[in-house]
Amino acid sequence: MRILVKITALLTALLLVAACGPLMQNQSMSSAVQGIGAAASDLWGETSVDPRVSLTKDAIDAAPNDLLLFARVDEEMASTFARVASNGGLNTWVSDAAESLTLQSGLVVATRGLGNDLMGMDYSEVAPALVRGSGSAARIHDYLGGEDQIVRRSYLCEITTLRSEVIEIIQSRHDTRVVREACIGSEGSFTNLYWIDTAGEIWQSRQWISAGIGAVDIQRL
Amino acid sequence: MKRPLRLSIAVLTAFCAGQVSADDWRGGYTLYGTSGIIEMPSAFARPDAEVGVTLGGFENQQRLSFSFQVTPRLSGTFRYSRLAELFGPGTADSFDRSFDLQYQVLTEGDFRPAVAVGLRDFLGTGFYSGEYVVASKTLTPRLRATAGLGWGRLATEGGFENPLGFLYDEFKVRPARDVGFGGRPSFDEYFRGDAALFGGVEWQISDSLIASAEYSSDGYVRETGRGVLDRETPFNFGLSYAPQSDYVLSAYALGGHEFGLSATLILDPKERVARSGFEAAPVPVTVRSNNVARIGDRSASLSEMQRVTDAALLEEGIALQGLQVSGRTARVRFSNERYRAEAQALGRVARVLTTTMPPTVEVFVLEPTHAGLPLSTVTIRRSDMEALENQPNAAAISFARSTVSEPSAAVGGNTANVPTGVFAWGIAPYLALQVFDGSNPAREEYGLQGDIRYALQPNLYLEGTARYRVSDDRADARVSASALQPVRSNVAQYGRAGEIGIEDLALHWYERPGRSLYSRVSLGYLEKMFAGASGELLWKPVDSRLALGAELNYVVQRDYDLGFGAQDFPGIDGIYDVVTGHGSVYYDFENSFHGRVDIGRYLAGDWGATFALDREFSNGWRVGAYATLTDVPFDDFGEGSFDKGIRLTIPIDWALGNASRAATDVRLSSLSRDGGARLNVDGRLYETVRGGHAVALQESWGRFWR
Repeated sequence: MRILVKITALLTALLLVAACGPLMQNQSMSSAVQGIGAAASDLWGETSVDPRVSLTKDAIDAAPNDLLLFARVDEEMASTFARVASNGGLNTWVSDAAESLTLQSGLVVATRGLGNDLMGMDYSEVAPALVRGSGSAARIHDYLGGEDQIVRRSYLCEITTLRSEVIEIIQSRHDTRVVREACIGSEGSFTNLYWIDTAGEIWQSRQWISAGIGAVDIQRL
Repeated sequence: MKRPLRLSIAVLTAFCAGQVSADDWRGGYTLYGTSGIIEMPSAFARPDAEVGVTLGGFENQQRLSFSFQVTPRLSGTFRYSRLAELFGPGTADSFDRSFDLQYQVLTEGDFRPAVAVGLRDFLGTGFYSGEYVVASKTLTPRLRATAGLGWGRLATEGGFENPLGFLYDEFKVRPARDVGFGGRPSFDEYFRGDAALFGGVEWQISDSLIASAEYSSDGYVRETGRGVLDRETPFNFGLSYAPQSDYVLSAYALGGHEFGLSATLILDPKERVARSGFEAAPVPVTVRSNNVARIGDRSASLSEMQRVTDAALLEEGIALQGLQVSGRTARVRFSNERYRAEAQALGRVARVLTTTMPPTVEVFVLEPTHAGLPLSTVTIRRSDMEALENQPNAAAISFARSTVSEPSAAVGGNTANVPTGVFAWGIAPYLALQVFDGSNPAREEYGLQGDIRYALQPNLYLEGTARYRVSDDRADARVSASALQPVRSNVAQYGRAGEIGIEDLALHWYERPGRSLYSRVSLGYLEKMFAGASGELLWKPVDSRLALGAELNYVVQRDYDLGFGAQDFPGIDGIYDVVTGHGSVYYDFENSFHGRVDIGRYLAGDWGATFALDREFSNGWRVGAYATLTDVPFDDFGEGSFDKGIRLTIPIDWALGNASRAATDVRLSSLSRDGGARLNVDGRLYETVRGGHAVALQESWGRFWR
């Protein structure tokens, strides 16, 4: 591993330093090397602070935008997203790393920049069923296929309320009910969990995005 | 820090996706890199579009094979082999190229076996030449059996009189091979002479282990006869390890004496590392009702709108080249420098405009350009952008509500946005590989490369590349013995280590002479070996799958020192100049194949035609084959008889998941010979234009909202 890191470091340094000037940005060798360089810089163990550790209630209150906390279940580091736009009840939240999430009252309906994004979702049945806390609903997910075409996947979901729970997110308490959504589709199945307050706002959730991303944890701050 | 982590995982696992299960066990790859058992073929086809790269062999022979499942039934293989001591113990190594084709005549049914017909090495010097008919059947989910009848090399063990001899006596005798300079199909040999039976079984022991055994009808007669190989039995045994669906490692016991190894890397061009890419999220659509007071204020001047739009587009990797706002319409001309799919750039521009245009503007007229040429006019309604963002099925609906029409005739940009006299430069190391020639698997050349580009206008610019070579000369590369002017075969004479050479330096001027017409004039040092003038005209309606082109060049062969001069050739008492040009027909078939025919005069003054057929994937992958036939006699052409080869294009964003227009081109098997050689001028019109035309836009419209 050490040697591998050294070699990548050397190669990256050589090529990143050497490849300069605007005309080289699109050259295939330098694009490839930049991608690998970014990957290698991660191996060197640059660390940043997990917002779950560093965030305080004062900082959240002082922030100009609404914030949420986001973490992929298969990754250790969390990140914060800020609400930047709203379109017909859908709010778009953006991270420092230029990823975005589009939520309908906390339900993920689209993502961008995660690599295997949810391009859009037919949430017309799921959203009211979550508020009701029971029933069955169809979901249709839009994904980008490997050949730049939209591939649509449908799922049938069973929604049940499990219990009531008081949760605390960075010193704010919320009375919620825990709702489970169990979905089955031809391409596999997944289960989502939502902590929903009486106004129908999802404060905390674990939602499945795509086969490539898996599930993510989201908390409104 | 999340992004690099993700990317590193993606890069490291780029080729490690998907577990294999018994259900999708597709059989193995042979030592010849084709679908089969060990050395014998099977009738199973690989999944459509699969690319398999196999390196395999044993002590005396190694084969690097590139295999492509062209259609669900047809597969093609290109192979480069090292044959040690081919002419007896102690003789030098030989290197040989060969091509195979296999067609699955019958697919496998419940009771019916799959049946395939194949030609092995049907074009090369014929060293591996053999034909076969083979049947394969899945007996249990974990056991497959194959039996076949072979001819040629595949009948050198246990051969008997050709059963086809009952039809015609001619089939009983395989005529002696007239190799000549190789590279020609030998129709008079196929399925002739003795035939022999072969067969074998593959047994999937566990999800990742496959055992195989075969009876081989290849007797390695020539090798054993010359005493460079021992073979005691026609039976071969193998064990393959395939824990993932994307590689196979195998070990073999061959003929009772030899130990063989092979490794196959399997790529699926249809599947990207990251399907939607890791590039930054787009700017969200700004909906008008909650945004009257921001930048889109009515009182904003045009120059202020231009400034804001220009800055916002630059963030997205898009250069604004013109903005006109009149009444309810905003007309925007831009050049996409980041996204492979023009549809993605269109989506980004339209979203930026929702934030920078005054609320009164309802219609966005977008004009993507390349080399200053407007490629199409795409009209999108702003209210559709607002209504469809993040909605289900948004891509299909937005495509249906947009119109793609002929681009405007005016080239260039709006002077307010496009500063004239833009200078850009870059310096980077370079590596150039010449692979698979007749005497060496790979020659590399490396050094430093400098690029400059001076744009007087977007459609009129000077572009050049100079290289400082660090690696050794390639002067040892074989100089051909063709009877023609050495227009390509002396490429190794060009450029010396430790010196700076001009690769190219030319002025390019693009215009729109009329409706559906595009033109290019290039003047200067057009390529490494030739300088002169090049003119081209292309007719391509924006929504047409057909395009017609014409090109005329007058060029002089350049000096070996890659300076500004022309080379003196004592044999012709002076410099070499030639008028060369082609008429071209391009057709983008609806089944993802792309055909092209060029007819005209080549660099050595020879007349002829080039035929090319490529399978193109809308994610940018291309795999194809081409052949050039000219009036140069095969004997004058030299090795290979005529120019032919296969080529593939792998987009960088496919492999890395980032946003990039860059791609890697690989050309296999093309010997740089002098017959059928074309000028390599940069920026030919067809590839410049077609990415912005209707067919390409529709095929990648899924990226509009990405």
